[in-house]
Amino acid sequence: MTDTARQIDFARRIVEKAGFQPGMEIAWAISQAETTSSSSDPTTAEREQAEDRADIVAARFGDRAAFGRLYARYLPMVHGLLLARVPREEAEDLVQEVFMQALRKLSTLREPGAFGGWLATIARNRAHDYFRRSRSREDLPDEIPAAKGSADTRALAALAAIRRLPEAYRETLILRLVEGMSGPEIATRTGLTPGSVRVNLHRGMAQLREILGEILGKE
Amino acid sequence: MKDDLLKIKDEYLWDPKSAVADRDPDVAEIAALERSLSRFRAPGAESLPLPEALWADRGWQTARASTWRGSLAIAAVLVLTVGGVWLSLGRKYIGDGTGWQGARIAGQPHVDSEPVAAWFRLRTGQILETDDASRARIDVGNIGEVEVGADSQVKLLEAQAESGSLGLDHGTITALIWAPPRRFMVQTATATAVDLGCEYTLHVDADGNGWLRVSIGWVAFEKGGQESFVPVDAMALIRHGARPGTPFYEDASPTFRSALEEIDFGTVGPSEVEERKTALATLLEQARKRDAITLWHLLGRTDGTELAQVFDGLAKLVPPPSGVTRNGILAGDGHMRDTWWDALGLRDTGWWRGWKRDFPER
Repeated sequence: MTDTARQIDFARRIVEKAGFQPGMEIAWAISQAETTSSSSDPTTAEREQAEDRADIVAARFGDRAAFGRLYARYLPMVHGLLLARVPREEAEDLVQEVFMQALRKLSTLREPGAFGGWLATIARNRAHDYFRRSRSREDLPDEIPAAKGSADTRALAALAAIRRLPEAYRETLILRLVEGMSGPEIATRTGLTPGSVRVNLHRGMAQLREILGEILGKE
Repeated sequence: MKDDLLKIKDEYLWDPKSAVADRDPDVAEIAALERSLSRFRAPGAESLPLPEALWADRGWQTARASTWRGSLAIAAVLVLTVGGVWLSLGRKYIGDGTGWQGARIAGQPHVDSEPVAAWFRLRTGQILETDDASRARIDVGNIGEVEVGADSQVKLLEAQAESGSLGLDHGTITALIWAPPRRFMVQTATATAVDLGCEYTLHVDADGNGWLRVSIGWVAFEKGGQESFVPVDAMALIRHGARPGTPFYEDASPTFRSALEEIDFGTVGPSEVEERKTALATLLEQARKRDAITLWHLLGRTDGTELAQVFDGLAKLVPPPSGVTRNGILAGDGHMRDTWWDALGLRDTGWWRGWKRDFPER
């Protein structure tokens, strides 16, 4: 972590712990960040983490715009985690439910830095609830469409192949290949370590190769 | 297509920006798979806005509560008001010289052998103790907080609203202080950690050995007039009965750290002379430019031939500025040492000597 990012993080934590009034803490944190940002340049991930912290603190005080920014940043992650578990057409509705639940529980989040992992857990639990509450439980189809024909069919085949992977690989690959997130982004957003993400991508891709190989081999 | 599709490059998979898709056929194929799958991607936040009901829902919970819920809410407000007043009174009590407020984080901490409640008062002279399953927090007046880790014993020595001190007998504490320098101190059997506006962790085991690690700002570690100035990302070791360890950056090589430990805490005797000489030579050989801070501290901790070697080693990393001479340093000229410190690119001596003037010893 660069000195600047550390200073920003320090400012955020102090305003949280010292009990500043809503609004004051943001202005104070930003001024701290501005006064300490001249000497070094934080990485994108560090800057995003600092922004997350500020928005989480503000959202706790009812700042809609701050929660909207969190929503925009974390929408792909939540959507990807749901897409890894529920039918495609259900994912978008469930995204909104996940964020509603997150907003209601935001005050219980003790460590703003853990927001991504915390939100991911809500999304996973919501997907589990979806199946538990559904009377006619419909698991993801095991059958993979033949990967020939239209582009749509091939895309569906690839998605179905990914969904056959173990959970950890499935999540990471969907975030990477469907949602277009990079490995570092996946780590930052989900709270997984970069090493875990890299391993999941590598091993998940190896297994996907085998499945795709079977499909394509049948052509 | 099969072979091309299946040959995926890990680096591209890790970060698409790390490879140029159109120059690598394998990468281009996986990029095609990405494009194909992107049709399932989440819509943008503009296309999938959060429903207004999200915010109405929060208001609805209070505005449309049923009568009994309303009564409950009134009762809750009363409880909160009374609690707030109690807390407010408590906070006035805390920091008047008699004690600070504490909170249980996990398990069952004790104060003077008595189990504490979720919130408690720690009076000056009292001892807060945690076992291997408990942790607690102490609010340092209005200027910060200290988390007391497991298996720790801490005594409150002084408690004002804007200053104070703790004694760490053993265990681990993490202090986060947002006051001006020198308002908060932690005494150990070996030395005193003086906060210079920072966050740090201090660990001392039952034998009096341990370490100080700084994650934000600076900490001065003092004993008997000898000081270590420990910056962010650096640490200093603690050895029972010895002076504070020389600070070093955590990313220094293991060889460097081992050599420094030998210099700081190695047994001094005729049979160890060679070991110490070897350690110093190794340390100087391994030192990087940022390790100049370690060498600078050694200027005040060595003499004779060793001091001359340290001078030469430091001069290679950071040339002595104008007015700083080899003879002067070898003669123990403190002003020259300070001038050289200013050339290290850390805060100048005016700042870290200044806090002593602004906040004289209490």
